[in-house]
Amino acid sequence: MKENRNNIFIWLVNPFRFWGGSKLLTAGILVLLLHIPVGYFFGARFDGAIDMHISFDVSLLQVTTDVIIAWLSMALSFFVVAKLLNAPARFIDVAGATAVARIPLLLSVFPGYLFVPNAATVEEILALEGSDLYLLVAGSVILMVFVIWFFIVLFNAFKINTNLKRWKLATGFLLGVIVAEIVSLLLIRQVLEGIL
Amino acid sequence: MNQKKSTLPVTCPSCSSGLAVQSLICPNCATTVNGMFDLPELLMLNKDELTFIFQFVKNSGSLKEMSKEMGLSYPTIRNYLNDLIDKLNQLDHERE
Repeated sequence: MKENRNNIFIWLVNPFRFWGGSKLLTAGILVLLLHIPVGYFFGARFDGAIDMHISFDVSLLQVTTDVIIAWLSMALSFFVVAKLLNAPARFIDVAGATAVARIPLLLSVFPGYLFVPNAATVEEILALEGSDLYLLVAGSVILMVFVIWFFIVLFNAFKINTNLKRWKLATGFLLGVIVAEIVSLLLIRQVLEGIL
Repeated sequence: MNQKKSTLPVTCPSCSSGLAVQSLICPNCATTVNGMFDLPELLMLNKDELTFIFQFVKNSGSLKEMSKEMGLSYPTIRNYLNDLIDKLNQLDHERE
């Protein structure tokens, strides 16, 4: 079971083969902390377990609340699903992996910011033409690459921490993501409404 | 010329069933013993799996130590062990 640690592709899609435990959690916390300045300065919100939206007017409180709830809901959801399916997961690994898996989502802020369309409403977006339209299409394609990358890393985070196979793996992952998304959307709204 | 080290084949190249031992030879006096002997379950494992078991014993069963030594994460090592346990259970089940 020799693994090539110099294989950059494995590091990009499945760093969890080499990193786990406290080392992965430390890296994950650093990733989460990076969300705050990036979100604040580029006007990005992470208002859901699998969400990133450019909204420009973002406060430090909003982006911090977003990130903590988005990450915790995903980590807890994956962990509970793993336990329900009798998978031997440790919370420290799941917590670290779900935080590190957010790197593509964090990086997607930059193309999202650069390619944001010069339109505020759906009608304005539909009316785009010429270079504005090309920019919108190019931005969408680049963002899609980051979204796919994010889901591949997230899937590997779930897979390696649960060692589930076949239908249990697919069902568990989908269930974990859907539950995390619903819980995070509700919690972020509740918490921010309570504070603001 | 370097001679390649041969490994013990454990599955039939024709139908992929598990092989059995029919003949053993003493390398000292060339005495041959014929019969029908089952291969021990551990010998049914491949080279990587045997290496893993060797490392597991050497590290007193500590997966944390193994993950450090092998440069892999704890979940990766634990998954490998769980898959190995499943395989041994399956071999055991096939024998019964």
